[in-house]
Formats: sequence, C-alpha cells, structure tokens
Amino acid sequence: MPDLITHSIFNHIVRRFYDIKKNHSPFSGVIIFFYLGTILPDILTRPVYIIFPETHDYIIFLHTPAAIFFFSLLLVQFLNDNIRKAAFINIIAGSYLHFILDALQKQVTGNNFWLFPVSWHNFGYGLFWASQYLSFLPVSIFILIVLELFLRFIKRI
Amino acid sequence: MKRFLYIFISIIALTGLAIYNYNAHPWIDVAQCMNDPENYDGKIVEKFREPMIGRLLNDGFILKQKHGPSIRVYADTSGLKTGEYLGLTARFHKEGYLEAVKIKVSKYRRYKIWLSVIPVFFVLFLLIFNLKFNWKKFYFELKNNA
Repeated sequence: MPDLITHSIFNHIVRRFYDIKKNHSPFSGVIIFFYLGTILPDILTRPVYIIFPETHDYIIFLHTPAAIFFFSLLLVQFLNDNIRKAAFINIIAGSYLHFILDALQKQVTGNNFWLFPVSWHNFGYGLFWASQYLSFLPVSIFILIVLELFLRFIKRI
Repeated sequence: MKRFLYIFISIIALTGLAIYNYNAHPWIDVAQCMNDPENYDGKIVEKFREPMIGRLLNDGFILKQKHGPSIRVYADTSGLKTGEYLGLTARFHKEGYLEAVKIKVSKYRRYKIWLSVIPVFFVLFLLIFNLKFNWKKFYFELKNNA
C-alpha cells in the first residue's frame, strides 16, 4: 500500500474539492476525524505486524471496510453526542478513500478484501507499485500546494 | 444506554470478525508447510514473516524471516539484492525448499515506513489540539476554539 503521506495528500485533495462550496476550516472541528480515518486502516495493522509478524493472521481483518465500520462505531462512542455522527461519517469517508487508493497498487499477494467476511476476493486493480507512489511524492506535494493556493485565490474573489 | 449498546455490538462484531479471519483466511503460511511438509507439498505459499533476502546464490537465495526459519528459494536472481524486503508467492516442496512463482523487491520499504510516521504524528497533534476529555461523561469533546 502507498505510504501514509500519499494517502493523506490524496484524501486531502478529494476533501478540498468537496469543501469549495462548504468552506470548512481545513484542520479543525470534526474534519480532523477525516484525517484520522485516512490513516486508521494502516495504523491499526502495520505497526503491529511489522514488529510482531506472527500476529498478522489475527489483526489483518482490521484493514477491511467491515472491520473499520465497527471499529469507527466503537471509537465514536467515546465522543460527545453532538459530534458523534459527523465524526463517524468523516472517519468512514477517510478510511474508504484509503481503501480506494490501496486498490490502485500492484501487489504480489492480495490485500484488498473489500467484501470480507462474505468473500476473500481481492479488489486490486494493480496500476502502480508502492515504490512508484514514493517516486511521485514530490509531484503529489506540488499538486497539493497548487490546489491550496488556487482555493485561497478563488475564496478571495 | 444506546451508547453502551453500540459499544457492545461493535466489540462483539470485531471479535467475531477476528475469529473468522484467523480460522477462514485462504493464504498458506510458510510455517504451516514446515510443520507438515508432506501435506503441503506443491502448495502455493503466500504468507511469510517480513521476508528478506538473506544471501544471494547462483540459482536463488536464502529467504530470511523475522521470527521464522530461513528457507532456500529457487528463483531468477536478476534485480535482487541482499538485504531487500520482498513480496513473494512460491511453491513449497516437501524437501524443505521453495520455488518462486511471483517475486517483487519492495524497494524503499524502509523509507516508506519512516515517511508514514509523519502523518501519524500530525493527526495525533490535531487530535490533542482540538479535543479535550470530559472525565464526568467519559468522552472526548471539541475544545471551544476548535
């Protein structure tokens, strides 16, 4: 899967297009849960099985849409009622965009079990290797900066 | 009350998914093959424990695993380097070696891991900056300035 900077940039760009009309503040309020959702599937699984590889078969299910749904549902129960629903929607949106970007990566073994637990079909569409995302990182950052400048410009006029 | 019901449902669902994942996953772990070689002879192995090229040989390499045994792999070695992480699917042979089917060096994997730490700290900072914990009601709420 791509690195988390690429995931964050991709999700941020998608969200900012949605925000052109809504004019949300970029990094405050419930919007922060969108960024939590962006990194959530990876931070629940990768650190654990990189450090303890034998745990892979116990925890890899957390990198699926079904598990993220229930994990987010659990997580938002520890938030104030006023923001619970909005935080849940933001976490789910961020996470599911994460899965879409993951599906564009070429892999030797499957990792996109979108229909788990119903099916183990791997929804990978194999366009780029993970190392290619890293090579594109300067371009991604450049696109992000141009977009932010553009949005600031059109908000002024 | 509704809140506790949701907590209960989520924990039950996650536990169920974890148990199902562990028992029903379709991939074969190389450790399973090593424990019962006769039964897994000729099977495709997809799961290794942080596989890395330990030593290059003329007709393959020694696969090193974190917390797992090293295994001889027969493969085309062009483009492979000692110390690189791998994505690998391979056919297991009961004599205790593997024959590579698909192989891909995970280039820059270490950089990818370290770069990924940056957004984690960024999100952590945003959460700390925007939320405060209400001990009476036992939940997080947005700070007034958020």
